[in-house]
Order: sequence, then structure tokens, then C-alpha cells
Amino acid sequence: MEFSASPVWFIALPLLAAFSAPLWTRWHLLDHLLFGVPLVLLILALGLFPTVHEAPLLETIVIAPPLGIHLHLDSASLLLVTLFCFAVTLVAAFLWLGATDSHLRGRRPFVLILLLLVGGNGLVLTGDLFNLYVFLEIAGVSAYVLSALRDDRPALEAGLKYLIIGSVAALFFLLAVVLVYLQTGQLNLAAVAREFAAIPPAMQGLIALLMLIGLGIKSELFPFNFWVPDVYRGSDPAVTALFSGLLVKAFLFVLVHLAVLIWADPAVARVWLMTLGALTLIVAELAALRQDDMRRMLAYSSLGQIGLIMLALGFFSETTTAGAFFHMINHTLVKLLLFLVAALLLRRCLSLRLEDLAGAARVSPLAAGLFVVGALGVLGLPPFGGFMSKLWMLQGFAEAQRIWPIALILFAALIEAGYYFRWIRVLYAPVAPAASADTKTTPEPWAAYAPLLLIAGLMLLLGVAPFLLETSVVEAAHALLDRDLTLQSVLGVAQ
Amino acid sequence: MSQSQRVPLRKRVRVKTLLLALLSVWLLVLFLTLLLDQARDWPTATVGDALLERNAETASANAVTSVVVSYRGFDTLGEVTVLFLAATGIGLLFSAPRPPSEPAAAESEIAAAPPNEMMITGIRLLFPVLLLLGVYIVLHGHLSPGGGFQGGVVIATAFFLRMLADPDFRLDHTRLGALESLSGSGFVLIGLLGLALVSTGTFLGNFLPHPVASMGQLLSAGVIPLVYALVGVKVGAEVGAIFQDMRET
Repeated sequence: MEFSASPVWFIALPLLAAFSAPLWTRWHLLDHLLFGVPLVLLILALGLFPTVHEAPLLETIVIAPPLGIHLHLDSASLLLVTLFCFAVTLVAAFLWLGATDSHLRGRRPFVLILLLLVGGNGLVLTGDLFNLYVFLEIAGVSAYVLSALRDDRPALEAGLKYLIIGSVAALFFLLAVVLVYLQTGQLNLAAVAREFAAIPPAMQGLIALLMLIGLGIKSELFPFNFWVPDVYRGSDPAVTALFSGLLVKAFLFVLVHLAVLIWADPAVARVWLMTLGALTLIVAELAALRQDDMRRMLAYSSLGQIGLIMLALGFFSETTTAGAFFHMINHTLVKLLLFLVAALLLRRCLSLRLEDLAGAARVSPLAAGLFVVGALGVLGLPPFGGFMSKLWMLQGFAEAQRIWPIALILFAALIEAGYYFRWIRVLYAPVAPAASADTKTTPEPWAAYAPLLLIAGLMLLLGVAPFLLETSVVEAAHALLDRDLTLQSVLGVAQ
Repeated sequence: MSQSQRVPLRKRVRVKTLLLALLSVWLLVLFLTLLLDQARDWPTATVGDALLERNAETASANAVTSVVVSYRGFDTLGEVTVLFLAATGIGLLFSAPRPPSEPAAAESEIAAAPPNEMMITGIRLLFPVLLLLGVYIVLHGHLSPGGGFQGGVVIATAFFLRMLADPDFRLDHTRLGALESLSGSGFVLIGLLGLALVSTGTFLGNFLPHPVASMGQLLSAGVIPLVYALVGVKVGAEVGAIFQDMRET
């Protein structure tokens, strides 16, 4: 029966769990479910890989595709859904085992984190333009509230900034959706893709520009990402782990997916997306050099990696895209690790400023050690997965005889090495840690480190055995780039 | 000559603001030119027209409702979720206990003044009528303009008037939460039931009998009035919770 394997579950199950939160509060099941629901979805996603390998799975909702909404589960969206469920499972495990702060426990974070998962899953699964906007709002609003969760001054500032800039982005995107409907009369992505070439060129440019601004703000690309460090600085590190690991990846995927499907001329799209990616990479890495707060540094480092992924995705070649998917997975793992380490250090040292962290390795040696592991992972040094994915992308550019992206990526890695080693040096500085650091708090239970150790182990595994993911990543790249295949599977005819 | 006239022009008008305003105007003009000159004529075969033609198969007399609740019911589920998130966010920001400050104390003094007698009597008369109107709009969503969103807001407004008339009137947050969660889960469960049953086989499929012959009657269109009633309860509970949160600060 189809019932057991429908992609609707990735949206319906967390939605149901979030809506019935008062029940779980009464039965004291919040922690179990926050961990259990994404875990069940993760298992379901892993079980779907053989099915999707045969053919993409289309789930019609009420009425068949050109008229109604459908969910489109192909190799690319399945890979991302799996990644999102995995990220939420890990963060939930971290919160369950280690978080003592009251604002991270209870009904509100439960609801918000699950709905963030709904938004992310919906963004990559949906095959309908307006439905995409609805999920953009769900993901956006849950993120605004999540960033204000701590309810103190910096958190409220972060939430307010995010709310304003996010709403502006959503408006840009909505305007583009309205124009698309006015011009083509279609909302289904495949039908829009078929009709889009008939729109006058100037109008095409306007729609593309509006979408690029809206999604560029959401996916934190260069001229539109001025707000990111403030939001990441004010939010809880455990929450920003989800922003960097889940939310941005979903919007990046949507941007590239729309570019492939709708922008008729891939050469134009390539120039735009690669330029934005390259600018994001360089500007963010240079800005990260001067940061004195670990959360801001990690935010800029995350932006740099986003730029790198955009650069590789925007090239629209199968090798670089496969490498970019692989790097998305690696980057999610690394940033989960680093932000969760930052959460532990923040609780221990009460501050994440450079001068307050001097000698922190003596107070919490394991956290500092994991920070080093994460830093090496970001840099892409050999035993870790980041090495393989960066190598893959470089190989793709080398095959196409493009030299400047290769030089840029290597230069960015050099800058990254500069600032990560600066932080490592401070952590291991031979001075006594600040007085406030070690007396007040009790050491974390070992269980709090379990999710982090699992991530570190996975990073090592992906570095040693990248072939485990090779087929699924290559298939995902193929599914993302093959426009005709998508049109054919939805509409039954190729253009 | 007065003081203001001797100040040089470039100090009175901020150049940066002026440039920014000019840039915005230029962009707007550019945008409008593009929109008016370059737009294609309204396409003849839109999704909307196609759905309108097929409206009979939902047996809902109000075609808008059959689009909102059935054909694009998934979007509606999403919109309800966004409202739920907004209510949660407002609850977070307004319900946190804050240290009493000067303006808050002054505000509570104003609130302590008893409401006007006219208002109390008026609202006492208006309350049942408004409630009835809200329920009517919700239940007749598949027959006439209106539905769960509009009716839910009318019901919440009725309770808001009660709050204005009676300072001691409180909406119980636990009960509102229970209503909200029941109706939200109900919406998803109806959707999943549509997926599970063989006769429909799609999420949110209309699994109840909906013969075209009964179109226009209160009991018609199968699952649509049921879903819209749940939406009405959910929207009413959420908007009511928002009013209550804002009042408690």
C-alpha cells in the first residue's frame, strides 16, 4: 500500500505532533517526541532511498499536478529531507540530554523546532509555487520566534531584526509569485517552467530579480546578508545550529531548483549565481578574520561555506553539484558540532568573547577538543569529510578548465585556517581561565557530549569512506540538474 | 530673518535620505513601467478557470471554498500553521513576567477605571448576536461567502468585546490551547484519513459522500464543512489567545 511510504508524512507527522503539544505536555512526553518524531522520519527517509532510486515519487494532494499541489520526492529532495531530519534529531538529543536552560525546554521550543522541520521539508518537497511561499512563511516565522526564544535584550533584538528582514524577503518572493501567476496562469512549478519562455524578456528579468532578492535574503547571499551575524549572535547557539544546518540549506536548494527549472537561459543564471556565491565566500571569510565573538565568527564562517556551496551549485555541472551536495552534508555536520560546542562553552564560561575564552581548554577539555575537530573539518583537512567534498568541487572546476573558482576556494581555505587557528590558540592559551568560569557551574553530564561525539565520528567516517554517499549524491545532482526529467515526471511530456 | 532660514540648505535636508528617496522613486517608476509595458495580456487558460469548471465535483456551492478547503487545502493547512506560529510568538513575547515599571503602573490605573455603562449594555446585547453570526459564517462557508477564517475572527471579536466590557473576564489559556490543539490535530487527521482510505487515496481527499444533487444544502460537499468548522475553531481560539495575551501585559 502506498500509505506507508508517502512523502506527506515528512510534513504531516511533525505538524500533528506540534499541534497536539498540550497533550504531550500533560503526559511529560515532550523530550521523547522531539527526539522521536524526527528519528522516525529519518528512518522512513532512509527506507525510501531504494524506491526513489527507481523513479521519483509524486504525491498528489486532492487533484492531479498541473491543477493541484503535489509533493515531489526525487533523489535531491530526499537527500536534503534526510539531512534535515538527522540535524533535528541530533539537536533534539542534545537538548534532551544536556540543556538545562529553561527557555530551551517545554512546549514552545518543541512546537517551534518541529514546525521549522515542517517548513524545511515542505520547501524542498513541494512542487507548487504558492505552496512554496506558504512553507517559506512557516519556516520563516518559526525561525523568527526561535531566535527570540531566550527573551532577553540581544535575543529580542535578533528576533525583531530577523522578523523585519524576513518579512521583506517574503514579500519580494510573493510579488514574484503573483507576477508569475498573472503572466502564465499557472502555479505548478513544472507548468510554470514550460510556460515561462513565453513571457516578454523584460518581465522575465523582473520576476527573476524579485525571486533572487527574496531568496537571496533568505539564503544569506552576499549583498543581502548583513543581518545574519546579529541574528546568530543574539540567538541561542543550539538554535543557530539549526539555522545554519537546516534552514539555509533549504533556501539554497529552492533558489537553485527554481533557477534550473524556470530561468530559461542557464548561462545567465550561472553568471549571477556564481558571482553571488564568490562574493559571499570572499567577503564573509575576510569579515570573519576580525570577529571577537565566537558566535559571530561562526556566523561569518557559515556564510563563507554557503557562498562556497552556491559557487559550486551555480556552475550547473554534475561533478561540482554532486560535490556541493556532499559539502552541504559535511557543512551541516560541522556547524552542528561547532555551534553545539559553542553552547557548551557558553554555559561553562558565561561568555563567548575571545578574551574570556582564554585557557578554556583546561576547564572543558573535551569541548575544546571537539572545537579543534570541527575547525579541521571546516578547513577540509584530510581525515574529515570536508576534505573529500572540497576536493570533489575542485575536481569539477578543473574538469571544466575553470581556474578562478579553484584559486578562490583555496584562498578562502587559507583565510579560514588563519582565524580558526587563532581561536584554537586562545582556547589552549597557557593562562588560568577567568575566575567566573570554573567555580559556579557543575560539569556537564557525559551524555551531553554523546551527540557531539556521534557527529565527530560521522565526519571521520565520511572522510575515510566517502563512497558510502557517492551514489546518492551523484543521483541527487542528476535529479536537480535534469530539467526535462522533472517536467516529464510531473506533466507526462517533456518540453 | 529667522534662525531656520540662515541654516544652509544641505544641512536642513539630509542628502543621504534624499538620495535614498530618489532611488526608491526611480525603482518604483522602473517597476511600474515594466509592469505596464511589458506584461502579457491576462492568459486565457489559467489554473483558476480550470478549477472553476471542475467545481461541481466537490458539490460545494461556493467555488472559492472548494478551492480554499479542497483543491488547495494543503495551503490552508499551512496558513493555519503560520497563524498558530504567530500566536505562539506573541504568547512568548507578551506573557513573560516583567519587572513592574513606571509606565506599566500608570497603565494599570487607567485600566482600573470601570467601563462605560453604555458599552456594558451595548456589548451585552451585541455579544450573542455576534457569536451567532460567527457560527453562521463558519457553518455556511461552503454555501455563501465566508468560512472558517472570517467566522473564527468574528467569534474571537465577540469575546474581545466581552473583555472590554468586563475587566474581570478572562479567557482560560489552557482551554484555548486545548481547543486549538484539538482542531489543528483534527485537520491533519482528516487529511491523513483521506490518505489512508482507498476510495480517495490522497492527503485531504474528500472521503465523505458528496453527491452533486445535494449542492446548496447545509449537509453537502462531504468533508469540506467539517474542515472549515475546525479551521473556524482554530482561528477563533488563536485570535482569542492573542487578544488575551496582549491584555495581560
